[in-house]
Amino acid sequence: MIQRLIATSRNTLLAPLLDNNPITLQVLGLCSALAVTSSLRPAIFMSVAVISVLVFANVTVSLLRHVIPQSIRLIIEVTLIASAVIVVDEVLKAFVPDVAAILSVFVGLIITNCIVLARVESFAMHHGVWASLLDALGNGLGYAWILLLVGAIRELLGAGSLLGQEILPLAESGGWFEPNQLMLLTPSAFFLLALLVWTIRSLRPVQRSQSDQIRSDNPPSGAAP
Amino acid sequence: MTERESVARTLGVAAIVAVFCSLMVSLAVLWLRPIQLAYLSIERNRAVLEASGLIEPATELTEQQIVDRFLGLDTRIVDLDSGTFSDAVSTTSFDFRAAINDPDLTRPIQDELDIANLGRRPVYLPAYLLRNGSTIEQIVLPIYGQGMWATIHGFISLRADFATVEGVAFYEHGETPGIGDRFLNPEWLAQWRGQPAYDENERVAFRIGADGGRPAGIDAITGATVTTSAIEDLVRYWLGDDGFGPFLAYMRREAPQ
Ligand SMILES: Cc1cc2nc3c(=O)[nH]c(=O)nc-3n(C[C@H](O)[C@H](O)[C@H](O)COP(=O)(O)O)c2cc1C
Repeated sequence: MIQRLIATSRNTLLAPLLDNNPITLQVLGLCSALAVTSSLRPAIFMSVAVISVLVFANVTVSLLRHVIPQSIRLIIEVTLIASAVIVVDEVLKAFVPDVAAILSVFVGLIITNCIVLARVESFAMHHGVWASLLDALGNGLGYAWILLLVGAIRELLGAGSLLGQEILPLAESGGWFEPNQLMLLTPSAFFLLALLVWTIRSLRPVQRSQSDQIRSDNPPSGAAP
Repeated sequence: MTERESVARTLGVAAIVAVFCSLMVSLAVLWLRPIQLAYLSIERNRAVLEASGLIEPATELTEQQIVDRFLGLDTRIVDLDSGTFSDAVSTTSFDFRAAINDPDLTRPIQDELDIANLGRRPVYLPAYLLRNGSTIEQIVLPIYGQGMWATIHGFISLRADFATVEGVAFYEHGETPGIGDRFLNPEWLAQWRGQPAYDENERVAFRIGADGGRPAGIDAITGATVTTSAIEDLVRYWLGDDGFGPFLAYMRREAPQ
């Protein structure tokens, strides 16, 4: 019994990291993943912001799940999410104003981040507080590691640094590394995300969508595999 | 209809959630606002120094370094109604936010003069003098006006002729990231240097973008016409007769030390 409970809890927490990742499998939350990953620091704070909002929303909605009338369910959920986002935005503006300036509207846009509403609607409305907390953490971390990875790669290749510290010696100051300006522009985030999705789906064929499988089962003659 | 879906219950839950959320947001703002304002006042000082070229944009400086350099400037209060310096307000207790918002310290602007969409204009504003001994080298003046989404705040610095722009810096705005906020690009701002503020007939000559055969001294920003013209308008307002115009004319005539 207890072991079953632990196994479910672990699954709730860990599944969203890779097997059911909100970005790479469900392809949600891309707007912010593209916009705030030009370097690592904003990606870190964006991740923390999304995790905080997710945890708050999932826990409060789960607590209220037997009380909320169906007819105003969505309004209540969005009100709770929006309030949490405003508080997080104000906290960022007070304590890390430089990051808040970079993140700008993208913090406010967490309100419309489908990951948050999806977790609240599909999970917290039907599960207990503990499970909802784990679900929020799992999905938050699943979102975060992708953001941090993309942010780290873009900053490293685009500016030769991580968190503003020079890692690859720049050619302009006598080193060998020629930064790739494209990495600092939004399209590079698209390319990196696509590569990630490709890698993950090659390693885990279960994640391929049906149309992918049909295509790879019957490759058109002459096409590269 | 089940009890859970009854009208009374629905209204009750909605009310409780609304009150809870507004309390949460209000308390957070009450707690955080002073911290944010303290940062903003440092940013304002920093913008004064950047406009005058005393510090390069994006130099890393501690708050103490910024305040120290800022205190090296000679701060005076300008009475915009009389167009002269005023000693009616103390420079140390001067509160910029109050000065531009307080109904007692501001007066309405006539509609046809209100090109920066301000509604009301303060009577007292600060001016920062950069001195070398007794001669004034630059004067830094606050400028602000309605942008696309929110008020754009900044400072403009004029040379000792009180008719030529030396530099500009902005410290608060709500323009769209990636679209409107490109006006913060240092290369774009560098074009302001040496632009005429007034022509030889003392009329406001500041312009952004080319127009009818007149080449652009400062390029307009493609795709951000709303923001660029808002900035042109707010600069023209503050240089104009309702803004610092009379005061700067007085400075050109008298240049009191
Ligand atoms: C969501 C959105 C945000 C925008 N934000 C700005 C802005 O902050 N500043 C601006 O000047 N134009 C902004 N625009 C574009 C303006 O509506 C307008 O198209 C533009 O200023 C015209 O510039 P142009 O004459 O160079 O084409 C925005 C447009 C959209 C759809």
